[in-house]
Order: sequence, then structure tokens, then C-alpha cells
Amino acid sequence: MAEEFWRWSETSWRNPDLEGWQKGTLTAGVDIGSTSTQAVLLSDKRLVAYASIRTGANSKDSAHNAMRKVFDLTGLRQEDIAFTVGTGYGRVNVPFADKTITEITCHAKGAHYIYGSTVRTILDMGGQDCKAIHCDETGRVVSFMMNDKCAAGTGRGMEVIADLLGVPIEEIGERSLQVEKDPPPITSQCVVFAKTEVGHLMREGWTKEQVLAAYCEAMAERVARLLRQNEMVEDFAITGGIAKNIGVVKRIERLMHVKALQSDYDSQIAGALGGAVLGYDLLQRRKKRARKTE
Amino acid sequence: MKPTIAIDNAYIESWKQKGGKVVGTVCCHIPEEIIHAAGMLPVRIRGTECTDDRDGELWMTDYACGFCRACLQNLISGKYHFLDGIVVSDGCMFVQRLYDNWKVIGNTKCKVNLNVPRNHDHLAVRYFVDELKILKEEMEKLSGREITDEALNASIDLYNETRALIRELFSLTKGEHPLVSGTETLQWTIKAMSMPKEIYNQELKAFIEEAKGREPITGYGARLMMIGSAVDDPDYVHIFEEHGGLIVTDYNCYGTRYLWQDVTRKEGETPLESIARSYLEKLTCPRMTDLHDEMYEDMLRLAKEFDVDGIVYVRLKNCCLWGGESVFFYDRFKEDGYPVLTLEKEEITTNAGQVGVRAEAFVEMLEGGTD
Amino acid sequence: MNDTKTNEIHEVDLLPDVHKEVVNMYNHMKAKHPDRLWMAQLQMDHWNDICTAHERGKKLILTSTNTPAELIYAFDAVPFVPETLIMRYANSDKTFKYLDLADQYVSHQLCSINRGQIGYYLSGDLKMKPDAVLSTVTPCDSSRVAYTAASKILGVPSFCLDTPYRQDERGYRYIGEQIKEACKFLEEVTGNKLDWDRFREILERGNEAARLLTACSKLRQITPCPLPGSLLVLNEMVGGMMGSQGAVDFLQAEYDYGVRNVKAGRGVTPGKEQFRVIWLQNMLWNNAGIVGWMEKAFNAVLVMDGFGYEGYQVIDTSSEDSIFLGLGQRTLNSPMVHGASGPAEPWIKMVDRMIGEYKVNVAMFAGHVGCKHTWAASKLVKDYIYEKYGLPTLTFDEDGIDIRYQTADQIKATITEYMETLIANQKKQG
Repeated sequence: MAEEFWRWSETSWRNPDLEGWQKGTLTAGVDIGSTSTQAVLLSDKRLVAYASIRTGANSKDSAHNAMRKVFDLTGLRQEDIAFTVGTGYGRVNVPFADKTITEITCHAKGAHYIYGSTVRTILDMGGQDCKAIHCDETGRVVSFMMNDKCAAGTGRGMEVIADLLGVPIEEIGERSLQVEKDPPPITSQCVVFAKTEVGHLMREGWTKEQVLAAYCEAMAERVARLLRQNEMVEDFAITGGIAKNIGVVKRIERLMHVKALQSDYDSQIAGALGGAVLGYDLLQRRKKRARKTE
Repeated sequence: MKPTIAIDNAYIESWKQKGGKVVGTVCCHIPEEIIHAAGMLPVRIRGTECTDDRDGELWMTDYACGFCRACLQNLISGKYHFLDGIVVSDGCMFVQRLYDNWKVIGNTKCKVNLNVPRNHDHLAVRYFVDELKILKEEMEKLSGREITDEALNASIDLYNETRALIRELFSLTKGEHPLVSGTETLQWTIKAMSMPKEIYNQELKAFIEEAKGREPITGYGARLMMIGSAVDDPDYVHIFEEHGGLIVTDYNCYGTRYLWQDVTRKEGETPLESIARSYLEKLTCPRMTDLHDEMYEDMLRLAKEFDVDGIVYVRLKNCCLWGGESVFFYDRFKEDGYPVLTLEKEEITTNAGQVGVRAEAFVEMLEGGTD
Repeated sequence: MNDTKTNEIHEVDLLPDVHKEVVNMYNHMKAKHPDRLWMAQLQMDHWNDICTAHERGKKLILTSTNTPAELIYAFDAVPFVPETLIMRYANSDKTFKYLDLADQYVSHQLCSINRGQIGYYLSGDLKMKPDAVLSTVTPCDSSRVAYTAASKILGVPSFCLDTPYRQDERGYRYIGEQIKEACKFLEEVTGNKLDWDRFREILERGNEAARLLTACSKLRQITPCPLPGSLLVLNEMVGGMMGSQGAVDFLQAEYDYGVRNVKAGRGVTPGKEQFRVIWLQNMLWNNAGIVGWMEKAFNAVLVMDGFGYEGYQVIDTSSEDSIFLGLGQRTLNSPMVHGASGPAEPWIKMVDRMIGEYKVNVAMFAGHVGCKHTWAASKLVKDYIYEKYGLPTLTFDEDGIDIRYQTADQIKATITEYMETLIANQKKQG
């Protein structure tokens, strides 16, 4: 079988330092994106565990698989979870979700959790689209912009380029920075044409690094336009898979004259994490209401 | 949702069977009253029912707005085979080009280009009256019938009745207990431009009575106003209503803006003068250079009157008039406390899922919480 | 990674900034190419007039290229066409800041010329604020937004001349009537009364410029073409200066230069002139150098473009009525309006005449992406010239302002491929 350079590694993680989490209120968020699915488990809003896997052909299976990984890590079962929020484009396909919330609302909340209350602009770069989100100090969405469904400028486009050049996707960012001078960005907006252009550039004698630089630059410019349309207010944070591509992140920072906040969290879990937080908040509100009516 | 009236529908078939003539119009600045007064049936051209606009794109290129491309496609593909004439304004760049291209490639017998001024002062009204005289002559030639002042007055009255009914229809979305959805109101305004007004008025009257006895619509998360470029597709509005929004009013030339403000009469005016002045004064489209402030005030008034939570601003890709209008209203809506969701639209919707996400997220945002 | 490419966000005082640049360019020309100083002089005159208007106690009137500049001069005010500012900056990354700022407020599909303007107004960098806006509704929907935005964002009074789509006598009269109203507006704004003798004098100067422009155009019909294509770009500046001595002096110098070349049998290409090119509509404002490159690389000279063709009519100054009618006619028949922004039919006829008069053998449609209405009628024009002359048209997309869209190298590669095919075909045919 041919090597698949686009394949990024699936991850799962359990918080080793957290104690007594079993006694807290357990909420989960499941984010089914076009290319990846995440499940996050919180106990009283403290991060217990998460899993990030590739979205398969069947969204429902992906939801189950991601959740199963979390259960494997924690020894829990579905009935132990007090509230589950489904989010992402496949949110309606989370069979065990108590509620669905859009990824826009969830990413804002997740970024707020990860980066703190100073974050105002969030760029979510997913597999299939990009979103620029403004939120307030509580992580509530104030406005947002979303680009059209198009593989160029998104994770899927990056995967195509990885395969085309035979460069493992995790190395793209670093290698794109290994050029002395950025070549002009690849102009094609469409990944289908970008493919042709990449082929053309390679024949012209460009190095892989130069092509990657051009592609990352094009992606950054595309995203910068979206960010500008929604106005850039600091602090700024990037979520989603492409946040891991330093070549794109650095270029966005340069074009927008900002520094993106850093965190040890996996940027890909922001949506599912936000969902779990929102699930917890919702549960608390419901409990409060129930107490009032009693 | 119920189906929207077809372009080629039974009313038109019956009209044609009786020997009636049909005239297509492009742009809502064309006073249909003049066509009606000649005993002909005016129908507004739309881009709906077009699923592939390859000929429209061939002639107008991808740089034209998809709505005009689809309208041209519908003309080329014969969807409007029943037309005896077509009247196109210079409403915007692409409407102009639709005319220019159709003039060369089209088979419609009578093709009229109407210059509609972009100011509304006395000089503009005078110029427009002269334009309408040309239109009147052309319509007389096509119909073989003289257009008398009496006939014009009768048409004005009939159209004003339609306007009053459309305003009444929209009043059913007001208050705590809305009775009709935005999908329905758009279907009704589109119906108004697709069949004889005499029958339409009766049908709309009956619908309004029926709707008054309905159970109110519940379960929506936010009351929205849709503003922007031509949205002639109720399915598009439906996406918002499937995702928790209720479109209670609009600023759309296929919606309220089609027939809203009456043609009023001033002392000493001829019917053509009343039509010319009223059509230039009407608040519809940013094409008018001297009505931007009035349009904003009007949108704001509607937002208040219909108790709107947020504004959905739809701009067709390549529509520069509405694409640029935001420079006049973004900050003002913000100051006046109305969040705006901006969406770029193609006439042929292929991203319903993405539009749905935006709609739902906007509703979540307006709701403030998520429960 | 190239860190020098950052779009520095810094505050600029736009007009003095451009003034400084033009002075530098002028001094450079004076030292290095004194024979071509007249080209720099036009720009010097233009920007001097604008940038010192307030110092000289004159009102600065923001206006569009097809608004009669003579009218503004007649009220002792200075016309300022913001398009010339963005064209001046087009080939530099100074433009990006304004385009990007505009994108926050309007759709990026608006023409970049107009987005750039809107960016100027929003940025506050136009510190020398115009005192009023006098514009027309042509050429396109984008410009309709930009001029209204100028007045609303800058908070200055405005007057907009409504120009109908069709070009006929009734339309000319309609505009003429509005120009009378515009006089009242300018009276109020400038505090000056219209002095008819002075007005006539200015109009006659405008007529002189119009005659010279036509004469220069006629010179271009000669083979080999005695004037370089790049001068067509400079000629575009004249529109906003009609009625000024600077415009007359420039065109006179251009004409004299052309005549000298004709007498010497001199063309502008290094070898024998091979190709006579027309561009059906727009100019590559940010890459005007490509025109000169085509001359050197392929002995191909841009003889005319749909923009500058049949520039300006002479106005009959014998009566007030004839003046207003003439100005009305001028407004509807000025460059950019007479062709692509009116109905397609007259544009096709215009291109037809151009091909005949200029003995054209290459047609190119350099499609500025913002000029969408031009694109939407381009097939009609291209089909016509192919059917009548058997002349195919090279079509490519570009952004005449925003070089991030398509670089000069990319455009050159497209043109090279096409020209090489033509040359190969010529060889085949012997």
C-alpha cells in the first residue's frame, strides 16, 4: 500500500493529575467535523480525558468510536455521563447527545476555556471551512464570519498537498518555513487547480519547501481576509487542526500583526470541549430552575 | 413546506389560452401598472428552478451575479416560452447586461430597455415620465390597445390593493404570536408576481382570513429581518426557519420591496407622473443614490415595528449595490443594537448545510444562552 | 520566510505623501530624462494643484473622471479624482492597507479602485479633507457606492449627476439640466459665483485639450505607431484636469513628440512593428510597464484601448444652452462611460471602428476582475470581432490595482504564450 502522507496521528489523553473526578458532574462534548471527530469529558468543568480520531464514512460510528476511546481511558459508560452535547457539521449524528449546538458557539466557549477570558477573536481552521469568531469575556459569541465550503485554505486542502508532495502533514508547517524568501502565493483559490499549479511549479524546479511556503502563504492570506472582514480584536487564538501548522500560523500572525495565544491543550479539541462546558452550564441552569420551581 | 408557485403555472396557461399576452419584467423598478393597463399580464422574471446556469455563465461569465445568470439561463432554456415581451430596467449592472445579451440572442418579440433614474428629484421624475411614455407606446403596440388614463388609474388602484394586502400579510408575523413564516410570506409575494393580480388579491385575502384562525408559530429562537440582494428562493429562507429563526420581515425586492409603498396621487399629476414619482421615491434598492439614509431609517423602523432580534444581511456574490451598502449600515445597526449576520449567496444554493450552521449559530448568539 | 512583506499599518497623510513621491519622480526625470520631463510635468501639475489647494484658499472638490472638471475650475476650485490616487499607488503595497480596511465594510467583489477609495475615507488618512463631492452615477455599481461613501464618511456635502444608461439626446439634456443645478451646489460650496467669461475661457482650454487628444489618437493610427502604449495610461489623468493649462501643455508635448517620430519614421518598437494591439477595455494600472515590455519583447504596440478611444467632444460655447448640452454629452461620452458602462451595442461599434482605424491585428481583453459588467458583455464584443475580422481575443483576468491577485510575471507569461503562438502562426504562413 502506498504511503499516506496526509494521515495525521489520532490521539487520546487522560489527565493524570486529576483526582476525585468521578464524584463530579460528568459532561461530554462530541465534535464531528468533516475530517476529524473529538470527544471530550469534563468533571465539574475540569478536563478528564479526550480523544481525537479521523471521521469515518459514518458519522454515527465516528461519534461512538471517539466516545469509546474516552470510556476506555476512564472506565466509564455512557450512562455515567450527565449531559452530552453534539457539535460540528455532523452534530445531528451524535445518537447519545442530549442537545446539539453549532461548532461556532462551541469553539468560542472552548477557546475561552483553553486560552482564558481575554480571548476576543478566535480563528477556527477546520477540515472543511474556516470561521472567524468574536466573543465576549464569558466566551459568548458576539459576531462571526465563515468562509464558503472549499477545500483550499482548510485542512482537507493541506492533506491533498501533503500527498501530492509526499511530505508528512505534520512536517508541512516547519518545512514551509525553511525558505529564505517566500515565493509568491499559489493564486488558485480552488484545490483542484492548486494541484495543477503545484505540479507546474515542481516541473519549474521549485523545491518542496518553496511550494509549501507558497501554499501556506496562500492559505494564510485567504484566512487573513476572513479575519479582517470580521475585524481583528486581541487577544487572538487559533483552534482546529491547522493551528498545529506553524507555517500557516506564523504567516497569519505576520499578515494580521498579532501573536496567537499559546496553550498546551490540543487545539483540535476546542469544539468538543466547548460543547462539554456548555453542557455543564446548561445542566446547572436546569438544576437551578428545578430548585426554584420546587 | 408547500411548493412555491412555478414559473410556468396554470394561471399563465389559462391566460394564454384566452389569447392574453404576457410581458416579463426584470427589476422591481418597472411599473407593472402600465403593462397591466394595456390588458397584458406582467410577470417578474426569476432565477429559481434553475439548477445549472451554464448558458447564463457562458454569456455573462462568472463575474456576473448568479441571480442574473440564472434569469438569463431561464430565458435561454425556454422556461419563459410564454413571453410576448420583456421589459428590463437599468436597475444594476447585471440587469443591464442581461438585457444587452438577451437583445442579441433572445427570441422575445418585444424587448424594451427602461432607463430608471438613480435620483428622485424633479428632474429625475420628469426624465422618468418621458421614459414611461416610451414604455406606454411600446406596450400599446404590443397589445394593440390604447392605454388610457382611466385604465392606468384602475391599474394603480388594483396594485395598491395588492400592496395593502401584502402589508396585511406581513402584519401577521408581528407580535408575540406570529401566524405566518417568512418562507410563506416570500412564497406569497412571489406568487403576486407570477399570476393575474385580480385573482391573486382574492386568493391572498382568503389566505389572510384562514391564517388568522391558525395556531401561532412557536418554538423559534429569534425573530429575524432578512435584508439585501434579490432573494427569490423561499427554500433559502426556509433554511433559517429550520434552524431556529423566524424571518418576520425583509428588505428584499422579491419580498416586501416588490409591492409595499402605494403609488400615491398628488393634485395636478397625470397617472404616469404619479407612477414615475412614486416608483422613484420607493425605498427598495441601494441603486438610488439619494435614498441611502431614508433606506436605513426605513429598515430600522421595520426592525422595531416587527420586534426583530437580529438582521440577516444576504449579499449575492458580485452584487456591488448591496455588497457596498453595508458601509452605510454596519456601524449604524451596531449602534442601534441590532446584530448583523452577513452571508454571501449564490443563486443556486449548494451550501444549504453551511448556511444552516450560520443560521443556527446566529440564533444561538441572539438567544444569549443555549437553552 | 520573507518578513519584509508585512503590510505595515502606519498612519499616513495621504496627499502630502503622494505629493512627495511625485516631486521625487519629477526630480529624477529632470536629472535623468529631461527629454521626457513633460510626462512628469503632467503629474506634477496635477498633484501640485490638489495638494496646495487649501494653502491657496481654494476648495477641493472630490469628483469622478467623467464629471466635467471645467465646471469645478470655473468656480475657482480644484477637482480631485480619487481614482488617480489609487492608480498612483497601485503598484505598491501601500494600497493593501486600504483595500483590506474596505473589506471589513464592503464585499471584496467591489472594484478595487473603489474599495481603495473607501479604505482612504475609512482610514482617516485623507487628512486634507475634500470640501465637497461632485460625482456622477457612472461607470458602475461599485463607483456608486464609493462616491456616496466619500460624502457620508467624510461628512461633506455632495451632488450626484444621474447619468442614464442609454446615450441619446434626451439623456444629454437631462444631464445638462442637472449640471445647472450642480452650479447652484458649487456656488454654495465655494462661495463663488459662476463667471461666464471665465467659464468659457476654461471650456475653450478644455476644448483645446479635447482636440489635442483626438490629434494624438490620430497619430496612433499611423504605422509604425509613433506613441508608446504607456502614454494611453497617462492620458487617463487628463479627464480630471480638463480645462487646465497643464492638460493642454501635456497633450501638446505628446502631440509634438508623436509628430517628430512620424517625421523621422520612428516607431516605439526596437524592431519592425509587428503587432498592433488593442485592449478592449481596461488598463493595467498597476502593471502599466507590461505595455512597454510588449513593445520590446514582441514588437507589439498597444495602439488604442477601449478606455481612451474617442476621448472628449468639443463643446460649443456659443450659448449657455449649448454649453450645458455639450457638458451633458461629454459626461455620457467620456472614457470608460462611452464604452463598457453603457449598453453593449455602442461598445461593439466603438471596438469595430477602432479595429478599422488603427489597423489592429491583435485583440486583448485584460479583464480587471472588478469590472464585472465589462466581463458580462465581453462575449458579445469578442464574438463580433471574431466573426467580422477573424480576430480572436486573448482574455485574461487581472486586478488592475491589487497586485496580490495576479503578478506581473503571471500576466507576462500569459501574454508570452499567446504572442508566441501568433508569431509561430505568422512564420507558418510565411
